[in-house]
Amino acid sequence: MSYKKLVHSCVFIISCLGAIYVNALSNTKVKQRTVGIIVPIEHQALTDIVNGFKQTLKQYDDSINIIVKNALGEINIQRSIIEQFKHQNIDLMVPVSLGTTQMAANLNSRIPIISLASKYDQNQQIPKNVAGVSDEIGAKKKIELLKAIYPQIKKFSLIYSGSEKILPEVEDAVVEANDRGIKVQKMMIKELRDLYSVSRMISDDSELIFILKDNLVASGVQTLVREAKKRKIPLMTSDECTIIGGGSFALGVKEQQIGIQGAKLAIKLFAGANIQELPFEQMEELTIFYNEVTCRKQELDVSRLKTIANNMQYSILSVTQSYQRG
Amino acid sequence: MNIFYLALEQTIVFLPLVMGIYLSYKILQTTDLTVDGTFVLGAALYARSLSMGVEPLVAVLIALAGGFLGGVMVSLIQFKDKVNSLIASILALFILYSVNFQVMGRANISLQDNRTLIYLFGDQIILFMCLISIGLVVVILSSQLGLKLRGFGANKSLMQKITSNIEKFRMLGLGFSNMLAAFCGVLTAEVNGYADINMGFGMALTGIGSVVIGLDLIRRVYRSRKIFNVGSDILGCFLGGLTYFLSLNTLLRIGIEPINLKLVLGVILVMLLRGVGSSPLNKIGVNRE
Repeated sequence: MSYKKLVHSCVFIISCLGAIYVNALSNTKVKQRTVGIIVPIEHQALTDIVNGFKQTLKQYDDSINIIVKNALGEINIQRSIIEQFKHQNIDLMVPVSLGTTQMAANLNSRIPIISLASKYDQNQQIPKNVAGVSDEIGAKKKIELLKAIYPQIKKFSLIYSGSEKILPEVEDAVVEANDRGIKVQKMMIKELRDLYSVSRMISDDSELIFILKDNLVASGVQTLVREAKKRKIPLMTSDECTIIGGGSFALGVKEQQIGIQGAKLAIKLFAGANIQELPFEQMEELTIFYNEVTCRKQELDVSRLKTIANNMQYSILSVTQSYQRG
Repeated sequence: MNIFYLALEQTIVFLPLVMGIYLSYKILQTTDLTVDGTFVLGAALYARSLSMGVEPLVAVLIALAGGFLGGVMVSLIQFKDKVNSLIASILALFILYSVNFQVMGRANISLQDNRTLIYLFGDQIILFMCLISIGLVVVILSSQLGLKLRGFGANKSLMQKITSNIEKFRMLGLGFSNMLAAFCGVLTAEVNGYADINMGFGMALTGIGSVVIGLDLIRRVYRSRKIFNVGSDILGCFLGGLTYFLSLNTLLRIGIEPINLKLVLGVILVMLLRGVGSSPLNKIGVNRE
């Protein structure tokens, strides 16, 4: 073999080896996953859910790119965000709330969706690319707790807004209360500014103010705290934020837990599960949140509350304004 | 989807509402925020009708009739200018919130399992419906009725001397305006797949912004000597909507923080509106507001 041929052969072999190496490198390079979270409106509870989701997913894989977009309450912005995620060809969409999930599922049937804090009607078919976590706690459990704490209660005032999740819960709560011999004064608000006037219309014989997990009413919880204080009656709510804000006690779930449970579904998906195999889960761990300061002022025995929580197999957590969530 | 096509698609869905606002704001020269409510009413009537098994085209007609009645209601509140138009529309919005609830029976109706227009005729039905609404506006404004509607907006005193009952023009104008808003609600529910009691938030203000910006843009381009031209005005409505959605999608695409989105979008719209203020047509008093 001549010297020239040897050099050509070496160059050829080195080139081939180089090409194989570069090809192998490009094959081993893992594509960075992107997750897009769509929040319909700015709200502390929704922020907590998103934080729970982000933290859990980052613990699983720190390289995952998580984009959070807020639609600021506008349907046009929400649609643009969903279309943008579609355009970016992200790996997973995470809409928070039912309306956002419906829009995401309607505009996109390709990218998997894990919905947080939403609940589909029983007679409504969940789209094939949607799994998720429902944050709904049946009204029955809340009324049972209320009756356990106040066995002699005859009437309470239920204040609610017209959100898509709340109305069926209101009807359930009324039925459950009536079944236990409790009358309900139903009071609906359209906007936050209605809350003050409505709170002034609470019946004199009402023994408790009750609110569901209702973002609009929760935003104005201070108005109800003041009214409850004036009337010397307790304020029962359905989430921890409103208890931190001055409510007496609540049966709810830790908001972060919704995000954590949703992130676990996302991890299963990234581990190779098919979105159609993933369920729409209910929250399992329920917590009684109470505000020690308010309870003391209303002479609500905290040790009794703890006993009731133990009997009903709920965890119990004291939260005040100094309490740091998460 | 390409930003331009996305904005174009959103504008086609939104255009009936912009034209509805154009009828009330520019033609009748009245401020009507009722469209926030009739937009939802249209979507609500349509979704509820579908869920009850009504044929989609009949459901659309029911929604249009509902929107028209919403406009009639606000014109009756305003009757003979006894209640300020802004106050009247806020009152109408109040009433419509309860009406919408009664219509829907709940706060959210999904169209996912129903036979919708898109299910029956494909996506192009949205463009076809939009073209029908444009045709309707052109026919109305090119007719004698359109002339009288413009007369009502421009000079009520003169109209009173010409015809005995000018209130019917207010009623018809606001009726058509809100009917178009309801139609936009139908198209939005179709495209998004659901009707929701809170879906009307911010629609009127976005629509007014689109009308003002779009009409100024079109007058700058054409520099037409004609004071009124229905074709160019509708093109202006379209351009206004397109400008809004292009700005919105571009800002989102370049990664503006969501919390600052409305601030930046607001500044862009203010800059455009400042441009309207310096328009030569404004200086000679074409825009009477």
